[in-house]
Amino acid sequence: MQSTPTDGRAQLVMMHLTDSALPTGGFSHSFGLETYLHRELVTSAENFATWLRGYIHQSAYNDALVACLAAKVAKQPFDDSLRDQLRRLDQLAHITLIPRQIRTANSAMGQRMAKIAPAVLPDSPVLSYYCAGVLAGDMFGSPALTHGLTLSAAGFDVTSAVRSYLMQMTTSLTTNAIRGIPLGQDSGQRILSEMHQVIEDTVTVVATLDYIDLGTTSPGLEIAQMTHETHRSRMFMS
Amino acid sequence: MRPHYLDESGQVSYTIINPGGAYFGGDDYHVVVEVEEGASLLLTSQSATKVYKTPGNYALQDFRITLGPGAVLEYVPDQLIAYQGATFSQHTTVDMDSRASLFMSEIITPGWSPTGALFTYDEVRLRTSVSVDGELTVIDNLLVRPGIGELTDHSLLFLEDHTHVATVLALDQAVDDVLLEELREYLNSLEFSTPVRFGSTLTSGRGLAVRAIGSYTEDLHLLITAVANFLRATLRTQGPLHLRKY
Repeated sequence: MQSTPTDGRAQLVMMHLTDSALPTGGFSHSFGLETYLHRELVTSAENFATWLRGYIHQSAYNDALVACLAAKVAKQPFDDSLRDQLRRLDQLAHITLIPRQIRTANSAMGQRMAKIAPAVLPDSPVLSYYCAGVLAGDMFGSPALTHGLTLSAAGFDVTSAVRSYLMQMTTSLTTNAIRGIPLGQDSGQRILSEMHQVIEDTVTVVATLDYIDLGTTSPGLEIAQMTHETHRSRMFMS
Repeated sequence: MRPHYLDESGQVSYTIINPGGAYFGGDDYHVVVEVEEGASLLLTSQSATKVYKTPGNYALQDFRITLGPGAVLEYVPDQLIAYQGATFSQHTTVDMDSRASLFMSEIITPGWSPTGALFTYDEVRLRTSVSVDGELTVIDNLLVRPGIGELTDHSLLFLEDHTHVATVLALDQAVDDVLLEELREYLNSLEFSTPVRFGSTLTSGRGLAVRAIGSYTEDLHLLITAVANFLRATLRTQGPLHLRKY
């Protein structure tokens, strides 16, 4: 498998999945950021950038690792062993999420992605199998898992799949911060550019991790995600 | 150490004693706990778990816990203190019946070094994996590697300006939204000697988790004890925890 497919169609798949409209539903979830807004710890482009760096850092042990493991699974022959690994990864991606709203958000967005991804890449047996399982309620669903599977099945290497997922996640969080803090569009774009190096560093970290590391938490972020459940007025569902 | 009966509930209490007084590199402790149908066990440690320098190596603690129908296990160890250059991994695997009740807590301190500097240990990993009726249900994974910026660059998401972390994981078939709401109300009434930030949530399966960051072991111990006591009173009308050492 070549590392960067020259195939135009594969390139279009990546562009499609990293579009700021995806994952559908991402618009409604701040993943704990809203608690920091309430506490006035994130109020500006500068402190949002600090928050975002920390968020991307912890994602190496969580959804970016899920995308990585999914991309690896998709490189294997489509057989019973692959199906078992996929089910196990889907389960782990769900049960390692401790805050309830994050688990709910992951499943809801995973459902939406399970509808979109097979339309973007219709000819992958592994992707079709996973998405059908999610839509049938046999599996929990995870946007990171779907992202990793799709890009890997489209011909990208594991690193490219992880990088693509992180860029998409970072764009989605920044879009929400622009609305939630609020920030100017220019500040948002500047922060996104600053995150390129953070994403590259994180891609390197993810490559050193494995199943045992999945779900490793940042306590402060988790507490923010848990206390979000009790906020009286909120803009975001998580 | 010989068992104690700390209250009238019939629950037996054991204290785990580390024969060397501390953990060193290459130490590999395996603890197997089986609580049979209808039995109740309170497990504590004799004192803080200390992990000394583990050069080029690590110390491992492996817990295997089996809980039968109606069994109760409360695991409430003292705080973990990792010294300069220490790497410690604790892997806990619980296999429980859905009618059993599990309570586990941990307190991680910033460690100890001769200069008084905090967080000079290399790595602390606590991973707990719980299966209910044979189905993998929840994994709680905590990893602190002070060298990679979590306590400096990323402190906003990690410990903020605190130094200690506490976690509770409890599974019981009676855990639900109503119980969580009542627990939250109760915990909000607690008074601490220093600021403590905490959150609680329902995990996958019939479980709840509490996470806290603070700056003082006793405050976090107070929080953990409050959660344990609330669950004792709510789930099985058992009186509050009275660990003899306090």
